[in-house]
Amino acid sequence: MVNLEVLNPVADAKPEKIELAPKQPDLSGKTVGLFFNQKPGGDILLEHTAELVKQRYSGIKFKNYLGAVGHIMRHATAEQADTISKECDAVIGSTAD
Amino acid sequence: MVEMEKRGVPTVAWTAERFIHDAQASARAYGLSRIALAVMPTPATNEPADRIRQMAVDSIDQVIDGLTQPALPEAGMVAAKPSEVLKFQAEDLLEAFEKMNTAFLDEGWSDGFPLMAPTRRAVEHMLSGTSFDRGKVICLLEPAFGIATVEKIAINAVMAGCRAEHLPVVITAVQCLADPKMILRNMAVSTGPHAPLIIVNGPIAKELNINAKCCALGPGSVSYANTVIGRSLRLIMMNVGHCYPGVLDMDTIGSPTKYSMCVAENEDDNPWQPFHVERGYDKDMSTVTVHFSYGLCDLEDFHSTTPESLIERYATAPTYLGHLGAGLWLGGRRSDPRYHVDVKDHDLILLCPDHARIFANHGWDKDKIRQAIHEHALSPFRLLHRDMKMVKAAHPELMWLKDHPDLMLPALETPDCYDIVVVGADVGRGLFFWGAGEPVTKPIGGE
Repeated sequence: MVNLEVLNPVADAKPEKIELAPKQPDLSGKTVGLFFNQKPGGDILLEHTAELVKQRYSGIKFKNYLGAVGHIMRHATAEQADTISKECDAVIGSTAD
Repeated sequence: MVEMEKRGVPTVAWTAERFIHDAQASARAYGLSRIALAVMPTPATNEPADRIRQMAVDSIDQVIDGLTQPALPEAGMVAAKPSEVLKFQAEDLLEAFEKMNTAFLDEGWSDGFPLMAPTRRAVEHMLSGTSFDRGKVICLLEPAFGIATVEKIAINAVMAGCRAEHLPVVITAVQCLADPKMILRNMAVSTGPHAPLIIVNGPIAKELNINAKCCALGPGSVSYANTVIGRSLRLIMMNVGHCYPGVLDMDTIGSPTKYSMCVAENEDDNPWQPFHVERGYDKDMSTVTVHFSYGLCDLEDFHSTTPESLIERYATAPTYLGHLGAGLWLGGRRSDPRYHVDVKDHDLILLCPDHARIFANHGWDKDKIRQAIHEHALSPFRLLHRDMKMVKAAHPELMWLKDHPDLMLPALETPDCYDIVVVGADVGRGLFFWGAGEPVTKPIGGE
């Protein structure tokens, strides 16, 4: 028998850990952001999602956001993420795929 | 979504079933171990509005749960990290080699072709091709922020069939990928067939026999160096950047261009300055340029004897509307807000020497060629723009165009969006690459 020893080609990924944000047990009266990255169909999906969620929680409000930069796919800048996090208690996002 | 979670705001993301692994792997790459998803059976793109609304109805509980219910513990066991040294025992070395290739296929570490064995001896020899320390971190390679040490790059270069003298080119290509202007994450994970083309300029091209002439893009023994250098970059994207098919490479169909693409510029038959000199480097320096493209087509013209006639034919390629880049500028630019980068999409012409001579003999330089293509590569606004909402978001000052649907507009944003590199043998046919983003050039041996 022979042994062939080779080196592993796979690199480790940079270790980083972000904690999940606490959930919002009750969305009544809360403001929910709808983040759209502009991929076709995502806007329809978000609009109808908001209608459906609204039926379950009284006083819930929605705010629409379109990614600040990009083209067919638009992304949030850090400034926009700051704004959304100040204005919203939760966010629903759509990339359409 | 990760940026929101980081700021303390709970999120849920709509995702198509095929993209669940991608969404989870992307979240993990940014340090988030779990992400709340609401799953649709298919993407919303290309679906009628009624169907999209029904998908929202069907999965609305997942949206509510994602925002309101405590996250489930991390699912499943975390796979044990494979050892840094892998052993394959067999009756003889050939059988052990086959076992290694089978194991690497099973792990997803292969591009599908047989791999050379990255033995210690082979990797040590490969490392002799660079003065960089084996532990030096060249970059954190997206999409997974893999730690791209010189040693990991060398291991993959061995697997691709590279020789030690090829390693500096490979390392520089990785440095190009890591430049924020490359927007590598977009190129790597997209549903499009984004493939990196490596262009080598300067003395090293001849030193390493990187083919610039007949069959430069392969296949064949004459393009051995081209083939293995290009192949190594794909393996590095997979095994260092974790850009694995179906996980962080969501290409709809894939493309043969993603296996390997590398050429040298044919500086002998280039009537103008070499490409790297145009881009600010000395003629005697050696450089690597990486340009992602969606695909390519033939630029055949055996009849033309004037620049004007050639331009007429060339200008049909950028206006092909199945290419994302045609008219994309009307909807904005490719951007990466993390690095405050936005770039124009560039197309690339590998100009054959015969055509280059026609241009040069008539006194045309590359700027004049670029300008002429830009002026001739036009399509009506109604075909170039995809959606008025996109135009409104990116260029509200151009909304007047909606009343002029037949106004002819350029396919790309500006003349400098056409890059020209002289490649190939004597005969009148080049190649046109529908490009994605801007090319990035780096000097070989630079930090």
